[in-house]
Amino acid sequence: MPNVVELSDSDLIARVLLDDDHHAFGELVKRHQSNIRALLRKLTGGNTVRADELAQDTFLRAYRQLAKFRGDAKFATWLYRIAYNLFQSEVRAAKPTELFDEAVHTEPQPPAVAAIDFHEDLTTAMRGLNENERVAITLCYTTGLTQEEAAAVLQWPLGTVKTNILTAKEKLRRYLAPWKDYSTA
Amino acid sequence: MNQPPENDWLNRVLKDEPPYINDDGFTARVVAGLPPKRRHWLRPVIIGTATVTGILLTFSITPPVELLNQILAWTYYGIPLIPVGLALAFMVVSVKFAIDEP
Repeated sequence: MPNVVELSDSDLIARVLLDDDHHAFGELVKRHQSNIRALLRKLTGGNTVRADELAQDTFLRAYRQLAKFRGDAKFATWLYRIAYNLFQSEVRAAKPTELFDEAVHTEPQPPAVAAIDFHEDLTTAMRGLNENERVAITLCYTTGLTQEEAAAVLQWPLGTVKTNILTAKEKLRRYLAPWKDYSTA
Repeated sequence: MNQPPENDWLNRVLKDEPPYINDDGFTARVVAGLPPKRRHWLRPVIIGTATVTGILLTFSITPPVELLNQILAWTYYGIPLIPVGLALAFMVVSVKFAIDEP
């Protein structure tokens, strides 16, 4: 019998469904935890504690609903969808300041060229985006989904994804303009 | 066009591979939070025990010979055996359902 690390996602899913194999589910978590946690960290504006709690809830929900996974999309895409739904529910239930800091939803001021850390500025710039823009840009760039896949995860029309990416990039380009020379160097 | 052009500096910056997040016990916490493993044998055992207990109780209340006589009498007087058949069918389906349930 092959070791779980040698099995494909589909084989592991079959094991979980047939034998309730926690070991197999653990392997699925191990494979996808980094991407899911990275996505949620971006969505929560870098709140790692909250992001990890949401990531944990994502995998627990995935476990409970695994029988509903039809395999017509990649398992990772299905997980992204669960993670996004949980994040959305939390945003609806919570005050914005519970998930993000006060910089959220305010247009950021361009940084000084001498700003120390580009990634810090990128995080700040991402916080300046509205929620839809941030989600669209995160799914298409951080997770590497195509725009069609992102549209499927978000259940938005493709045009809405494209529009949000365009406006998000325009804001980011404006805010991060001082870094352009550094990034192309 | 679906994907943005690669020569855009912002695309490059955004597409920077995010650093791998070390597990650091995350998987163990998730697995620890899973509900207890389903016990496949428990359901058939419960239904089987209930069925056997029901049969034993029936025979203890009505001795087998008397029960057989009663069934024959029902047949003789034209009372259909539908209830008995239904009960048997229900029992078979229940046991099959109990065994098939993942």
